[in-house]
Order: sequence, then structure tokens, then C-alpha cells
Amino acid sequence: MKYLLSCVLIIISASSFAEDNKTKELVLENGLKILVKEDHRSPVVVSQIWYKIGSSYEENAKTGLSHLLEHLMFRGTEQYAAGQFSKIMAENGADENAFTSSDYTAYYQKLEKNRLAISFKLEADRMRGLKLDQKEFDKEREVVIEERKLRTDDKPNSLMYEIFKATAYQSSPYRNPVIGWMPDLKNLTLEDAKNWYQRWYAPNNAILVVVGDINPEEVLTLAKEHFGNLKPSDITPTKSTQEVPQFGIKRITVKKPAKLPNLLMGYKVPSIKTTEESWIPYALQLIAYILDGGDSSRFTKHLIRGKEIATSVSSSYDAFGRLDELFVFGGTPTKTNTVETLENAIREQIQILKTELVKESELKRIKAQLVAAKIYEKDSVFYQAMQMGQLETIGLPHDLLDQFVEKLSAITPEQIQMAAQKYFIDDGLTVAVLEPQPLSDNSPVEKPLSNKHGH
Amino acid sequence: MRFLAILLVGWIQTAQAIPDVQYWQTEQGTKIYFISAMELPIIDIQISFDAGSMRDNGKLGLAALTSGTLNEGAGDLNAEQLAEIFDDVGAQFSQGASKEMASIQLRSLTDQNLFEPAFENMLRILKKPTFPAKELERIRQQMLQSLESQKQSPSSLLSKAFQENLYGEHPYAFQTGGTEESLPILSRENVINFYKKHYVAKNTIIALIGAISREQAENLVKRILTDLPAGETLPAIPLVPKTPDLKPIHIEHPSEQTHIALGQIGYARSDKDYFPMLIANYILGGGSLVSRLPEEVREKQGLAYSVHSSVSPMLQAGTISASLQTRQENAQQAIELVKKIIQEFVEQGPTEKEVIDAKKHLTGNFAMRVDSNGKLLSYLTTIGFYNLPLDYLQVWSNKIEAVSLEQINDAIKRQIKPEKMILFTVGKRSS
Repeated sequence: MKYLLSCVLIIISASSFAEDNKTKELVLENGLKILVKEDHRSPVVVSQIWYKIGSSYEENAKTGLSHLLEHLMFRGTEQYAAGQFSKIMAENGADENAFTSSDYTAYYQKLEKNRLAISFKLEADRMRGLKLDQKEFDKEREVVIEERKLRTDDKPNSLMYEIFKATAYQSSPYRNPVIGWMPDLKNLTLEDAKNWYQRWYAPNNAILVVVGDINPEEVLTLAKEHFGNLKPSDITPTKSTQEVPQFGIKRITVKKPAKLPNLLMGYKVPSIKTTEESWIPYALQLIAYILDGGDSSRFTKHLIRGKEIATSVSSSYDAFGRLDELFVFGGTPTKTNTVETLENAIREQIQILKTELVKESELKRIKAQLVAAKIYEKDSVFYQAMQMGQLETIGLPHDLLDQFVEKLSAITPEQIQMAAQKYFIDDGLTVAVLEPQPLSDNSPVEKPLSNKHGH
Repeated sequence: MRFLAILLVGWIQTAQAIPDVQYWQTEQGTKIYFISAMELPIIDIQISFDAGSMRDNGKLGLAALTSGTLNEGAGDLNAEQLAEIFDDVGAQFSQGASKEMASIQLRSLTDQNLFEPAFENMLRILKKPTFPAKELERIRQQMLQSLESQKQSPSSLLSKAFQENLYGEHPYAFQTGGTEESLPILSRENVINFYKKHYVAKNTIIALIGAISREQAENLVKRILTDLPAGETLPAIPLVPKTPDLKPIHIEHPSEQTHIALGQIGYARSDKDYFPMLIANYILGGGSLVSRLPEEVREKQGLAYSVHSSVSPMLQAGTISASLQTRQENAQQAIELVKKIIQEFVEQGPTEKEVIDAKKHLTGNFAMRVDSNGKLLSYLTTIGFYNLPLDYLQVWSNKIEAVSLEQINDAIKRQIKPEKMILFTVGKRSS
């Protein structure tokens, strides 16, 4: 934080900058945690409500339930009929939606600043007052089935990623796709949705995050007024199965109609939440940036430019998971290369991390990017709220974000090497390959385009 | 009822602090749009050229190949050195081409030690690109790969067939990414000539927003334009012909869902129907879940996850369309339903209440459209490219408010032609 601050103070004269950005925090008696941050650049406010519930909480044969429930949250309460939520929000000019992940389900509205009360009123109403009926349930399940086909089944790379995750994780519930397995979706019942809602939707399992052109004291008063009377529930935290050790490389092939092959490689790694030694996730995060952060990163330099092996190649790691994570490498080889060549080239880069210390100049470059990105992200109130909510739902303090750059900066080249040596081992590796199968004849049936344009 | 009344008051009191847009034009004809935003120590610059794929002139993909190779070598630096300079100071550089324009964009911190190297590097890329043969070849291969990837995506196949068939021989017909036939024969000379002809001061719009003064902005602009040849203004793009008379077009694909679009040629950005149609489209299918199409097709019948209508006016006429995806066995039912909704909409028009609700949404939502430097930057370029008035952002809500139900009905009848709409489907053929 120190570095970031000094940097900011040099460039702008308003020294109140840091002061303004302090997040106010309050926990209501019913357990609802509220985080409020001022940002007065535009007359707008974003309000997000986060529930600690997602696909990694789901039980056998009930995958997709959290996400289906997210859809049902728009289908009426005791007070408002189905669809009214979105209608009222639309009339108020709100941008609104919801999203579900492995660890959380979140709902948001972004509105003109003096309409925040509408958002609070309706979110408080559906936190405890959801009305679930058979007709809406049946119809919404069909919508979700269409969503699954659109997002996963008809996209070879997405489908491959789903299978890859379910293969890499043996016992961890991170193997569940957020949208759910199709057979489960077809079997979910209204009763399942009701029970899931009763079990998890309560103020003491939620976090309210508000960022925008607001007065924090007023927001807290308003929040108390709307959410203060909601009854808490007995929330029994789920005992999630830990991932069991892996004893050897897992390789799978996914055969689907497609044109381009694809490669995924995943190594088992801890998250900030699960790590035994606190520095490890930060070292892993740095590795992701070294390989794939910016246009001068190692992957772009050596695999896309240099040897011209990949058309696209990436490395990604999510340090903010509730459970152990996967460090994932992925990519598509160029036309003249194969997935095997690409796998070898990625392995070669991993080997270099294990054997050679990262140069200070490289780390300095990454730090410059991180410091700048931290300031750029202030251009989005939504993103600021999003980051806080994400951390809090997995039980990490939101102000960890302010220390993030500092913690990354403290990592040494030796630690990066140690992390690579410890975690990038074949016995913990899963490799998936998309093997394209022929697509059926693509030519238009009624009126061939080739006749029309002469190509 | 009390609740509704409160809403109404909130709506009237809506405060919209929209920053002033400053404008000036250089002797050579470059248009400059600038907003001074002192809150964050950031500066964003977008330099746009009339160098989109509509200028390919038969060499399909040339605009994109030129844009894509721009930062692969400049002055005496190679791609890697150029990238390192940006990354060393945490600056973000990007470039790209669409149908109508090509642009380069820089986001940097305002600290001089960070900004100067990034800005100089951008100037180098803009003015001294070397288009190295080896890198050009690599970008060409990437574009060819991208064409392959479109073939495995039903939505890409649909969009390609849609544009090509509706626009026929017009320059808007062609994909920015080129074709398998065109890309291999584009030469380095083609690229260099395209760059020389199109990346010139007369065809340039510069948009700036950030923590700098007008004077600083003027200095940056001078440095951008120094040594950039004036060039020639390009001829206007030809008028778009009327919607062609075509039978339904089906593309066979092994997807589980059938991707469906109904579409026609619409109107240009400068058309007097622009604002009435913005409201009309919101009511028909432009407003997430509350418009007629999603209300009937998704919320009542559960036939699709995503269903919407869109209007996309450009310099010349854009398209008007409705689209959705649904499992193959429901495709016919969904198509009939969508046709019926459009037909009714055109015949009967929207209700008074629908118009009020749409206006409330659009005006109430406007603050969210201009709430970041990133969004304002792209508005500045839009204002410049489509020759919109300088107070466009200030009067936008008033323009929406001023539209009458009658004007909307007139616009709908003039613009939407259900009987002319062409049906496109991608998926498995029904048995």
C-alpha cells in the first residue's frame, strides 16, 4: 500500500484521495455484513448482494441448483409478482443482473445515486420472501437447459473445460459445473429449490456491498431500515470434501465436431484460503503474470512470437478460491503445430521457472503493471464492489486487496522457483485435448453463398 | 401505489453531471474531442481512422491485417521491444479494426515518467510502423485460424451469413477478418499502401480524456499530428441497397440449438428516426427481460435463454434484426412466435404505457452509460465519427423525452418491414 500511495500523491494534489476511498464496514444484529465505499466521480451507485452459496456447496445429484435458484429469484415474491423485480428496476433505469460461481451467488443493480432505496427494498424483500411455484419452476428450468446448451454443449472449448475440471478434481466439489450436469438439471424439483433457498438465503449468510456517489452514513441507515428486520437463519456451514492426493498424470481426450484443436493442462495448487504457507499463492500469482501478463510476457514472447507454436496460449490462477485450486495452462497450436508440440513448449517454460531465477527486471515490469492496474480499476465502481464481495464470500477480509500489490512485491525469485518446483509436477497434472471431429456440411442449403459472391 | 409515486419523483429529480466536451479542428482537418477529468491520475487516448474493413476495396481483410501488424515493428524496434516499453510503465495499448474504422488506444498513468515513454512509443507505432514480413505472415496465419474457429461457432456462422446476404455487394457485407481466399493473396505492399492512404490526418479523429488541461491536450495532439501526412479525404461509402428478396437461408451445423435470426436493412445513424427507433427497439426486444420478445419467448414460454431485437445504424443503413437460440425441435414454434410478435408490434404499435416505461428506463439509465472515462472515450469517438453535435451527451435524455407516440408509430411503420425480413437458421435441419 505504501508504494501505491506515494505514487498517487505525487501525481494528484488532492491528498484526500486515499481518505475518500476508505471502506466503511458494519455488521447488523441479524448478521448482514455491509461494506460501503465512496466514489464521487459519477452520480451513480452500484449495490451488490452476495450469498455464500454456489456450485461447490451442492450435493450429489443436485448440481446446478444454486444457479437455477438465482434465476428463480426473479420469479416473484409474496409481495411482487414474477417479473416485477426486473420491471421496476428497468423503469428506474437500472443495469441489473446476477451471477453464480463455485463459491457465491451475487445480485446487483447499478442505478442513479438517489434510487438506492429501491434496490434495497426489493433485495430485502426477496432475501426472505421468495415465492416458488411449480409453473415458474418448470419454465425457468427449461430456460436454464437452453442456457446450458448455448454456453457449454454447443461450444467445444467450454465443454472440454467442463470435462477437464471434472477429471482434474477427484473429490473436491469444484468438479461440479456451475450450470449443473444436464441429467441433474432435468431431475431438480421445486422442493429442492425451496429447501436450498430456506437453507442459504438469510442476512447472516449475505454481504451487501455498495460503491458510488453516496454518503456512507446514509447508506448504512438506509440498509438498517430495509434489511434490519429480516430474521437470520441457522446456517450450518457445509463440510466440503477436500481434494484427495493425485498419484500420477491424468490424460483425457474430448472428441467433438470442431475445427481447431485445444489443450488444457492443470496442476493442483492451494489458494490464499487453503495455503499452509502464506507466500505460496502470491508466488503462484506472479508466475501467472510472468508467463501471461501483458504483451511482453514469456508466453507471447516465446510461444506466439519466437517459435510461433501457438495462436493463443494462456496461464491462469485464481488465488481467491474457498478450496484448493487448479493452475491452468491452455492454448491452441498454430496450423503447422500439434497439441503435443504446444504441451512440450509449455512444459519447457515451466522447466525454465524451476531451474532459472526470474530476473529482477521482469519482476519490476510486472509490478509496474500491477500498480497501474490498481489505479485503472478505479475507473469502474462495479469492479471495485465486485472484488470486495468476492473476497468476503470466501471469508477473506476485503482490505486484503489494498495489500495485494505489496504482498506480491515481497515475493523473491527464489520463492517463485520453489513454488514452481513444488507444484508443477506430473503426479498432480491433468491434461485434456480437444480432438476436432468433422462438422457436417457447412454450405447453406437453400441458397449457397458461393453462388452469390463468387467465392 | 405509494411506491410508484415515489419512483416518479425520483425520476424527475434525476441529476446528470455530464462533463463538457471540448472540440477543435486542426488546419489539416483532424477533429479533436477532449474531456478534462481530473479525479483519477489516468489519461486515455483513442486515435481513429476511416480505415475499417469497408475500405478493403475488394482486398478482404486488408484493414484488419494492417491494424493487426501495426505494433509488430516500428522505427528500429521489434514487436517485443515495443511491448516491453508499454509494460515497463504499466501502460495499456491496443489497436483494432471494425467495419467502419480502425483505431489505436492508449491508457496510461499521468506521471510524466510513466506517461512519456508510453506516449512516445504509441507515436512510433502510429507513424513509423515497419510491417516486418515475418510478423505480417504470423498475423495472417492467426487471422486464418480465427476463420476456422468461426466455423465451429453457430453464432459466428449466423452473423456471417446475415451480413453477407443482407448487404450483397455493398462494402458492409464483408467480415472484417477477411476470407480464406482473400487473406493468402494480401501482400506486404498492399498493407503498406493501405496504411499510407488511410492513416492520414484528414481521416483522423482524436479523442482524449484524463487528468490534463486543455493546453496539455493541445500539446499532445500537436505531437500526434506532427509528420502525419495530411492525405486525402476518402469518398463516401455508397448507399446501401434495399433488403434483397431472398428465401430463408439455412446453414447445417451439428449444434443442439438452432440459432435463428430475422433481419432486414434498416436506416443510417443520421436518420430522423434514430431516437424514435431507439425507443421502439427497447419496447420490442432491446430491453433485457422486460421487452416484448423476451417477455413472451423466454419469460412466458421458456423457449430460449437469450432472445432480443437490435437496431444497428451506421454511417449508411445498418440492420434491424431479432434473434434467439432454441433447441431444434422448438425452432419452428419459436420462429412463428417471433414473427407474430413483430407483426403485431408493427400493426398496432406500442402502448402509451410502454413508451413511458421505455423513456423512464432509457433516461434513467443514461448516467450509467457515461460513468467511466473508458465509456466517455468511446462516446467521444462516436460523436466524431458520426458527426454528432457536441452537446450530444447533454441533450440525449431530452431527445428521448421529446419523442411522441405518433413519431414512434410512424418510424416503426417506415422502418420495420416484417414481410421483407429474411430468416436465417444455423443448426440441424428439421426432419
